[in-house]
Amino acid sequence: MSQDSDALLVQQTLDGDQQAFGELVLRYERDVFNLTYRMLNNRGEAEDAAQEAFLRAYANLERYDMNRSFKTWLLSIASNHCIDRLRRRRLTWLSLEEPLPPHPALTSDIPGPEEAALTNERNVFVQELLDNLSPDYRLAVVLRYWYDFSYAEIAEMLETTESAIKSRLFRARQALANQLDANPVSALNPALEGS
Amino acid sequence: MSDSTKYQRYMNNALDRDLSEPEWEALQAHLAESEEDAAQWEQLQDVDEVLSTTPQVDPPPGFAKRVMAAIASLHLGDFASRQLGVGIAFGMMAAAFFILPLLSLLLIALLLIITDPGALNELFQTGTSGASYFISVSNDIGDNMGAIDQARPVLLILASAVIPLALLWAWSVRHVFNKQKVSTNQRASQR
Repeated sequence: MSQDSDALLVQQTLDGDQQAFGELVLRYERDVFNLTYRMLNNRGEAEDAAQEAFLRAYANLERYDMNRSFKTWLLSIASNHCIDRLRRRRLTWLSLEEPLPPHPALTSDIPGPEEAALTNERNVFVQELLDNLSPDYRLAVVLRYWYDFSYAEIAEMLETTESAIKSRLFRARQALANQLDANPVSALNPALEGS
Repeated sequence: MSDSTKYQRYMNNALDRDLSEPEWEALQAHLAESEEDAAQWEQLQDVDEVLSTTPQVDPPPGFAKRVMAAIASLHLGDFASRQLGVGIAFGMMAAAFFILPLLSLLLIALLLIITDPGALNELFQTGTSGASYFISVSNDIGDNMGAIDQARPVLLILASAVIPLALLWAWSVRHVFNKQKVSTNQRASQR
């Protein structure tokens, strides 16, 4: 039902009703922002990236295939944009002229209730885990755990094979398990109970 | 496939709830024997638990409004004008499609002329005779204009012919741009 109404809203947008796209933004802002935040681990950059993803979706709406899930299409745009940003960020970090960015935990300086959700111990812990993965592995983990996409869906979104995604997720899980070995999950348990 | 690789794959599949009963039993038997793999299985389960129980984060308040304001400020809303843009792009491509063969033919002709001394000489003669013809025509026009100037001032002729045409052109351009602006504003006011 949701997919049908997504298609309807897309068609209304194409017919010139910008408000219809506003409905889609409201519907998927959480999904898109969560993805960009998990990938980029910086609140401000995540907001910019999420906005950019919506703008790109809007600008390319004529290319959207109505037979596909709008959510999948939108998240694939956001995913590709995050990968691009991470590549650019890496190049910036490699430049000696650019200062190193502050630790992500220190950049959440915007007051408000959402800050608590972002800076609580569990999120910091999870983001630290994800931050040590390569962007490709991180993306596979994020799409699998926060969106419950199948391997086939993730493979379609990232234009690769199912076996490649399975392999990425397997290696990512192993890497995360090794990190947990060094930083046991038991240290997080009080935070888990409190969140 | 080595036993270790096989059980690693089983562990991964188990986390995806994609393990058959016999495979699950085989994994359990293996973990009972291998302390190392049993420890890794514990860690993998912890990873799975942490990731699958961490909720999504919410966007900052007013995020959707900012997105829509950004869309409005970029003037991406007018799909009709974008289609017009696409039409212009196709038109330019079509023009290029027709012009390129002509340019190629011209280039080939020039190459043939340049490599043939006789033709080059002929071209030079044609050029000089053309230039002298142009000079004589310019002189004739000057003489004629002088004659007209005596009867009617040249400025008056220019004012009566060129200025109305320029005004008509300016009005047409303004009309086309205003039409696009009005359609965008109408859509905005409808909301």
